[in-house]
Amino acid sequence: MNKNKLLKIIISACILIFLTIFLSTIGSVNIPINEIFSSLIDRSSTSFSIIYLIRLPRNILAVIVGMSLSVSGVLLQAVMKNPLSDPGITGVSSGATLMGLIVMLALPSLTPILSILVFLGGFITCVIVYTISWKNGISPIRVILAGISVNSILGAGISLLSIIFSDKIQSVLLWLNGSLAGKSWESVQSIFIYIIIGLILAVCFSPMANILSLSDETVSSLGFNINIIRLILSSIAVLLASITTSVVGIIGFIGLVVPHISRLIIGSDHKYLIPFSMILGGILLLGTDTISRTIIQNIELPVGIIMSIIGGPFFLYLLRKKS
Amino acid sequence: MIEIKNLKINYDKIPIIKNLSLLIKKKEIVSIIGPNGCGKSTLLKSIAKLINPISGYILLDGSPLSSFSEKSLSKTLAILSQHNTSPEDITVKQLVTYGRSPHKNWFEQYSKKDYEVISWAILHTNISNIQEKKLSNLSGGERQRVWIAMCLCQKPDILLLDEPTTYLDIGHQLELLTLIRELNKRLGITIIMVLHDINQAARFSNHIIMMKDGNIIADDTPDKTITKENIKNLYNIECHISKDPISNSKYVYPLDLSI
Repeated sequence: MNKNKLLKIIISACILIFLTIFLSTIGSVNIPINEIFSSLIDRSSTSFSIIYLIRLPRNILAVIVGMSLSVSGVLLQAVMKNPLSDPGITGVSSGATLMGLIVMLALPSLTPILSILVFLGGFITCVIVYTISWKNGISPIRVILAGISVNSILGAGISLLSIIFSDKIQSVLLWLNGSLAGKSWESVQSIFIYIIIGLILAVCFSPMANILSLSDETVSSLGFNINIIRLILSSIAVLLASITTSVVGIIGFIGLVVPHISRLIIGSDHKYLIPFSMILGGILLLGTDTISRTIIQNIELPVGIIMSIIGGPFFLYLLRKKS
Repeated sequence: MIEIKNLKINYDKIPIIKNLSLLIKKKEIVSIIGPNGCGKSTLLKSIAKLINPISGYILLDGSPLSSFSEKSLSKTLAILSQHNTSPEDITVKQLVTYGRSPHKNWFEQYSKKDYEVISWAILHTNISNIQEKKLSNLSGGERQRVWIAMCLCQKPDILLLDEPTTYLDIGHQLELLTLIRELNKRLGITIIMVLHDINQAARFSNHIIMMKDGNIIADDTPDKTITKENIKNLYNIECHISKDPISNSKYVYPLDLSI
């Protein structure tokens, strides 16, 4: 165990817990910090409902979504041996988007089961991408190319739907850009257990992700079945990404950039990298979501946009500093 | 002992190895030499079960290679590939530790014995002084020794090396080959390696296999295989052959391309 790295993980975890609670007091109505606990006593107070029924569930959702997208990114970058991989590369995002648009625009009667259909859309697309690229095993470059092709085919479908239903597109725009607006404990509950299982599996399988950093031949000669390792890690990554997408829509960039930032801070050993990316992803999405709901009064900006505006320059800064 | 019978291997339907048979005795140092693209590396990879043959078979101590699982094979046979990748910030010791994987299950903790083997491998490859360093900060020669230490952690009876001296300067080449000979002598590990330098092959091996176009054209001691005719046949060059005054092994002086 590396004490220095362990300390970084513990400190960042404390920051995450503090922020999750503290940021629940900030918003269109600011609540004094001391009321976080005092409002618990009087459950009929406005402070109680604002903190515990509106903001806290939303913050917790932001944290677990940020965690799963980041871990999904770490795992896929390990599987693909490609630093540009993110959950989108497997077709999860475009499959989920297309399914979401079909339901919301063309088949509104299915809206009650939107989440499940979006999850299936993402998951099935990913299975298709992997099946197309399978040839005596998984070759990362074939998965990436198949992913790009399938993404562009589905992208055409998405554009087509947007044009056909251009009168209704306004209402789904927020969902397309990913948003945590109006999420309650119900949304948290619906995905919490699956996300936790996925994250625990990711931590348990971190030695596998480490082994993949060696060349394929070395992995095989050490007695591992490389295809099984790739399949297991991909499955965890895709499950995490498609489950979150089904609830909050498409939030890009975080799955790509958090693993890189984490690698710069804590190194490439997945034993530390996975937990740290998890925490950092939680902090980042929580922070950007808070900004997106507070920066302009009475207007919710899509969190994905804020993520790119803040995350991009920060990442570039780290990149410059490192070299 | 490794016994290869009527081995045929294709790459995308192009035959690379055509009907090759071979016997490699235990505890020997065997060098495979031949021109580029003659199938040397392919032969080595097929012995490590990284490539499956179209037909023919490979017997390892009498049992067919196909009957070994990846895991059980990795406990008796290790291979050092020509190109290796590793994370930028991995330390020498961390990398060497991966060599114990064949003897462990996924969630099994490393025992005292594992750490003993790791120290033993580090000792025998002479890398104790750099074991805490990052791999990316090492010289090419040091890095090759680290990879060999990882292979040693597998506790193999057979070590396969694919052009282990490529990219090294002459000093580090000599150091590495001496190390390999030591491993063979002291630990009794069978060494099979692909080399490009005929004179190094002559000096450091008990046995030389000459390959051309996916076939073996000579398979014997260095003294018997290194002849003007064989060298001309392999590389299409005229040469002069004499003795190395120090090691007394054969020494080839290339003269000119054959007409």
